[in-house]
Amino acid sequence: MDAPAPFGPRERAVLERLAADLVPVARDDPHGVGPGDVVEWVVRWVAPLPPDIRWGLRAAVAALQWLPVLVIDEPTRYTRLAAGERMRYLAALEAHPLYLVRSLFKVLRSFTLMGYYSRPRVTRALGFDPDRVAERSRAGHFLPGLPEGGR
Amino acid sequence: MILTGDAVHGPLREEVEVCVVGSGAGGAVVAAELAERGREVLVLEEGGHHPTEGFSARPLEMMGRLYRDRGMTCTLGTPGIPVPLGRCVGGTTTVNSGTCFRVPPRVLSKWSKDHGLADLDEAALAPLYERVEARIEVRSAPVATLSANASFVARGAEALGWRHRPLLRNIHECRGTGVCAFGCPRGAKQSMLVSYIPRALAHGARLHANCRVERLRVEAGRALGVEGTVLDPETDRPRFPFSVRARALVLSAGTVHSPVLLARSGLAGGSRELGRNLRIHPALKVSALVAERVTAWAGVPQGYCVEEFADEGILMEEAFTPPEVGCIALPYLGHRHRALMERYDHVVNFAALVSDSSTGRVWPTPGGRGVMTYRLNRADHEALVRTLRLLARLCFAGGAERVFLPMLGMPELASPDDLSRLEAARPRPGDLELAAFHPMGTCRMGADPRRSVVDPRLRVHGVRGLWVVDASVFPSSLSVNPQLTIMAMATRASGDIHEALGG
Repeated sequence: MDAPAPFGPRERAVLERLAADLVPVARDDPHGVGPGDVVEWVVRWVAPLPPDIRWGLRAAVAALQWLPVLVIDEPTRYTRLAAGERMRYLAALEAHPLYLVRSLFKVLRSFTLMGYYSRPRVTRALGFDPDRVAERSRAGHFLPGLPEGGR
Repeated sequence: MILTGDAVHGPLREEVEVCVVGSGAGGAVVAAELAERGREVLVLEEGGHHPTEGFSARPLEMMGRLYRDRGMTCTLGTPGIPVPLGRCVGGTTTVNSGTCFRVPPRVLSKWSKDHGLADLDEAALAPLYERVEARIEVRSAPVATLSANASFVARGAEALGWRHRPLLRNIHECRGTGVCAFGCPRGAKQSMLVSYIPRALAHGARLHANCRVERLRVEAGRALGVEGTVLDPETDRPRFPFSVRARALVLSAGTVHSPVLLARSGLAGGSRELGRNLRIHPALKVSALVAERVTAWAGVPQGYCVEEFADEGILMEEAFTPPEVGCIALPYLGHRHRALMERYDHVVNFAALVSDSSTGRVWPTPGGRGVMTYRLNRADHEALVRTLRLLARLCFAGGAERVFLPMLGMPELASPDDLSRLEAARPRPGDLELAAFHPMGTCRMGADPRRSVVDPRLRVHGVRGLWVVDASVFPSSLSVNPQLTIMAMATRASGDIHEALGG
């Protein structure tokens, strides 16, 4: 039996908005990884975690959606803010004086970034190719960047 | 033989001479040493068995397989500090960086003075260390395997006149693959998975993976065995109960779970020290951008150290991570963060741990998990702030163009001139982003049963036939990476257990 889905449709919509804001990709993202793909990864990553951690993450998503009124004095939800306001809001969360608020945002930021940068096409574009790393390692070769036989 | 949870088809009942709970640096060594002496040994490991051939070098995929809660274990407090733990055959040695240190003499002196551990001196430990070092092939990280990150650190330290050197590591034909913390795909890092566990199995020991011990059985002051649940390797769901009877019981479940198991079993509560005295070596990491392309993920991620401040309790070590994990340590949001990531092949970093006097506690939860609380005291906070300043100086001395700090309100130093801003800053504990990798101390050893959980020979006070052999027994912060000392202590305990069984 599969693990229970950690997020409902509304929470997923909030996470998609966050992914689009944190990892801004044009419609023609060269790696073909969109916000929906990032959220899919986050969902799969979170699903097997213990219930207390999953509940904490749902609380973090709820806080992200509903805190604009307290953090930037905008009486609306995060997903309904204009683009510029959203970035102002996220920056305010990141630097918020309350440690708990900062921490909740940090967790969501981390998962979102991991969801994007763990995509093989993305890491390969940055120069890190795990499959090649494993293959060379097993074959006894040094990695590119390490001159074989010694630096 | 290794039995995994999917190969179990009904309740398990075993009777052995020695039952070892946990297969990390403590449990694996005890298992091998006793099996070699002809003892009948069964090792129980909660995590799964993941052979080296299946290690993919994909950091997050491997974190999902090899770490407890996917690497999300964390202390509660301000700041909350991530403390990732291994949960697999080989324990945290499968996912650590392979760094080896002997315990500094000053720490041993403190243990002798404060905890009555006079027989744990350098001379007594030396042959134990030598035996372990030979078996896991401890050597200086070969220059050929060091990354450009190490060259950067060496350049900075040299410019500042600080002592620096390659680290000692447990390796066999390392090729600088760069993913030690996510399972070495080559099996070059001599973790327990590829060193002591195979040695134990070759001498007749058995290992059951996916077996979660939930209770220790003790009657009339004597340990009799354990009870628990066989887990499904894929879903972690309970499958069948198991019980093991043993003449000797060795608890090597680690600093978080050893005290939880003792508490759940109603043991070792007499001193009121059980679960207390948690130390973690709080650490922080500074990243930097350099002009040249360095691809710092190529090479050993933790191969170099700066020891200039070790006597102050500040030990600087490399800790580079590939982009899919390293992305979270770089500052900013949106386009600014993405611009940094696109130059990740120009990123270097350096980290440092602080020998802490702060304490925390492990609390058992109703579900059998352990929760850590930890509060940073003023001395350690000041040491961390000093460490941050030193790391930033080193980065600029090494040639960094920009330095990124794990600190609220000052994410970046744009030039060496900005160091004065950092000197003037007074961050609060919650303003620092910390991590920790060495939990210890929650079943501390000592001569006085009123102030310790185990005696100087690692026997639980007041219980016959029960030993604790893991980092939880260290009575204070070790100041250095602990795996070698855990293994040395386990080697000594093995001799004691053998004798206690009528060696």
